[in-house]
Amino acid sequence: METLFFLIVSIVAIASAVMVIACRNPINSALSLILTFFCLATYYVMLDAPFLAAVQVMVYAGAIMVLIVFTIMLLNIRIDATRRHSHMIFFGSIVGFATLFNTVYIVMKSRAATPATTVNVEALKAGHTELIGREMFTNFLLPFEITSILLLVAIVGAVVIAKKKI
Amino acid sequence: MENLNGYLIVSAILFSIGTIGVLTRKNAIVIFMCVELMLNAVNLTFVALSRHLGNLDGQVFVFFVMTVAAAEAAVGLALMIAFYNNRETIDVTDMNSLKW
Amino acid sequence: MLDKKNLIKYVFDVYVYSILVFFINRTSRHTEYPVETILAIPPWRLQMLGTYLPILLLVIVAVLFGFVTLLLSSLIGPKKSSRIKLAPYECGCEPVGTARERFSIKFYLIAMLFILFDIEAVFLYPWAILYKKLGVFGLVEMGVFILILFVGYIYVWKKGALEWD
Repeated sequence: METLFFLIVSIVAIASAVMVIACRNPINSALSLILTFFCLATYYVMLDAPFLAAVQVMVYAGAIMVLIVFTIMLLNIRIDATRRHSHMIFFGSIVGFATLFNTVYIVMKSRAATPATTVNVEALKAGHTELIGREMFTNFLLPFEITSILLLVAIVGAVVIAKKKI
Repeated sequence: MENLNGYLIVSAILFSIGTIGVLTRKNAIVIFMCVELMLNAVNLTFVALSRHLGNLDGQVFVFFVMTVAAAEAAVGLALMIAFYNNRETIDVTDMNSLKW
Repeated sequence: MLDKKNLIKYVFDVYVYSILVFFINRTSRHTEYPVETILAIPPWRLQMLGTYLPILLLVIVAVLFGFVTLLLSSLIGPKKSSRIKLAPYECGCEPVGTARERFSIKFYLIAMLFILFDIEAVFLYPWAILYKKLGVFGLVEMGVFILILFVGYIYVWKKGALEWD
């Protein structure tokens, strides 16, 4: 039952990912990418990470994709039928399939170092959000604070670049 | 769910699709979206392995990857807008001179 | 014996019955697991995934609704098109200019700032849940985090990116 569900979600995810690189119109690519993100959120739910699924929908599908769609509409690039929308298809495909083959080969050949751990039911009852928070605010304290500096740099950089020419 | 390999293979496929997109598309925004796709494929690997090993470190990493992706989206798209204002195009084959 | 009237009644009965079964299963889920033994999934897990069942149903209904409405209207709707009917509809007025007009960059700035502060909000959720357990330590570390972002906020404000002129 769950395997069947996994297969369906995989097919949708991969098909929409192919649509991202196959569509001529960037808007269609963006909409397909949103579908892929929703499929990934479904995976996170199946992997017992519901808070990550919520964050995936909020940040990726809700914020980053909005920004990308805004940019597409802001620039409003006309689809010029006379120009090709892709190049080096042969070379790119070779590199892509080599990556795919390599990764799948490693995954199939390697044995898992440790057997799958069973989920601690008591820990899950405590709540996934709480577990993540406990990890982030104790063991990952420095990366968490550095994140704020990264965001500060992004704010300043983006405002400087975008505000220069209005 | 026990099929770790299934998640890893889906992640590999998504990553390869992203690679092909980055290498073959000409529109800078589509290339940007393909980079996001690759980041997400890596996130899926992180979460699957974190679930497999019973260790939450991978999931915390996913948060940091998302933060980096958001910062990258803000600055990268601002760069594209600035470029478009100068050159009226965002085709990567037109981005071939250092100074305009 | 199954004429049209009976058929509709039959379908309706099955529909009501399935809804009843769904709700009975929902209410009995916390005490016993009749469904789980059939599906051979650990009971606590199905209970957890079962909380996502309404979302799944919503997605299915939404997709079906979209497809069925489009299909029905294309199948049974009359198609008598004229020049006026095919014109773009814009609140009854004559459309002015093209629809593909370029947006102002102000929208972009607002969306960009939204992303960055959205990330901040995402980090606040686990902190809010753990607030009592972390105590003063948590307050200080989140205080530093918010302070650093506040510097960026002040910069944006002084730079005038928030003004809508």
